[in-house]
Amino acid sequence: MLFLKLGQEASLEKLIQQVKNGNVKAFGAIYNTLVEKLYRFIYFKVDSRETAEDLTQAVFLKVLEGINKYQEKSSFLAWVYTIARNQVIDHYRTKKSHAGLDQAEKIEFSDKNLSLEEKEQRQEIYKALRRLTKEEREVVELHSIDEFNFEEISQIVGKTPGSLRVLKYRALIKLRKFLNQ
Amino acid sequence: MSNESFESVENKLKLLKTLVPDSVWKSETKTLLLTRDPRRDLLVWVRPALISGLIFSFLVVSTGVLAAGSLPGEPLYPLKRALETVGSAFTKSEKRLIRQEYLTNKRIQELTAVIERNEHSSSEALLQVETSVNEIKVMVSSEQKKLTELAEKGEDVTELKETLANFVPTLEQKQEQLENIEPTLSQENQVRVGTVIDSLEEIKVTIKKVTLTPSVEGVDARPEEESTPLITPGE
Repeated sequence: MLFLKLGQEASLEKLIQQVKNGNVKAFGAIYNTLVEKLYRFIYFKVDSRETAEDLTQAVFLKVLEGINKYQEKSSFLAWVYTIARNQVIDHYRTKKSHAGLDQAEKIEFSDKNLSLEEKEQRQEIYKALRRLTKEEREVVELHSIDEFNFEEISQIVGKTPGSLRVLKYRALIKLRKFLNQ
Repeated sequence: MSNESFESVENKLKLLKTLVPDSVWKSETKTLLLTRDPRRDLLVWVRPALISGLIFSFLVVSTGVLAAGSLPGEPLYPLKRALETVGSAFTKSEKRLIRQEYLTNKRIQELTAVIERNEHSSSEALLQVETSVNEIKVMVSSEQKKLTELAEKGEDVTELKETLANFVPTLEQKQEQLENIEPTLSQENQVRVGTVIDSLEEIKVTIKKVTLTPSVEGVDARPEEESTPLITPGE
């Protein structure tokens, strides 16, 4: 998994260089790699399919506009997720509302082939996930769902990999308890 | 708290991977990003500059418009005079006398407006008229000198003479305007306006002298070497 991740980051760096050299199509490959993860990252914070789509699009536009200024010394993922996080903050600042973070609404799956039972199962997990603290939820989302390693998550959230492991462990204990209730 | 139970939670969490954006939206967004007009990037930076520029221009123009209607003693009046000076600097030399006549006319209008509003500001407005008439005097003197030099060289000075001659009626008009204003002023200012009227008369006499004298005798119409103002502003 780690090698795959490192390979993915290296491949991203290659694509970034191509975009910087004027190959716009390379940005399409970056988009394909990150769009679902970023969408989920944003969706978990805004609880609305439509808002998540708008914000995800805005994030990619900012990435495209700023990619030439991106310094390769820092992690590309950390840079992209910082943009996403700021986009969500701006969204709440503009809307002057913090609804969504505290209201457990029904999760909106775009996959029409899911059965009612499958949807309910996911709904139950999502509800349990929402009962975690913001930090716990974020590490679970990024590690268990999006499959980032702790090293990468530490760059995204600005915590040490060790503290993230502890956070994840506590989160899993809580989740197991919530799911068994 | 077995590993199996954690694994089971992890597996359940992985089900949320099915939370993905709509495929149509995904494809449309990708197209939008890849076909994006690069000029938009430029607009991101240029637009604020354009807006700032427009606001700045609007402020400059509106201040200029406000200044244009200002009177002596008002805060924007110095700006009005500064703009006029800039305008004069860009006026061709052959049109400068006409422009100065136009500006003198404005000064007289200002004096009239100031008197109508407030007698106390009329001294400042009168000073502006005095200065403006002095500038006409200097310009006429310069034109007179030029005419004499051209005549000495045997060049045709008919056009220049005509220009100066045509200036006489406008000077008479100004004298008349000032004569009408004079009685409405304080005694002290009446004396000053009287001096301005006399100055205009002297300018008229100078013009008549050079324009009515035959070109060959232009030397006789030579202006005094050191032109002194006919009026001392503020005296």
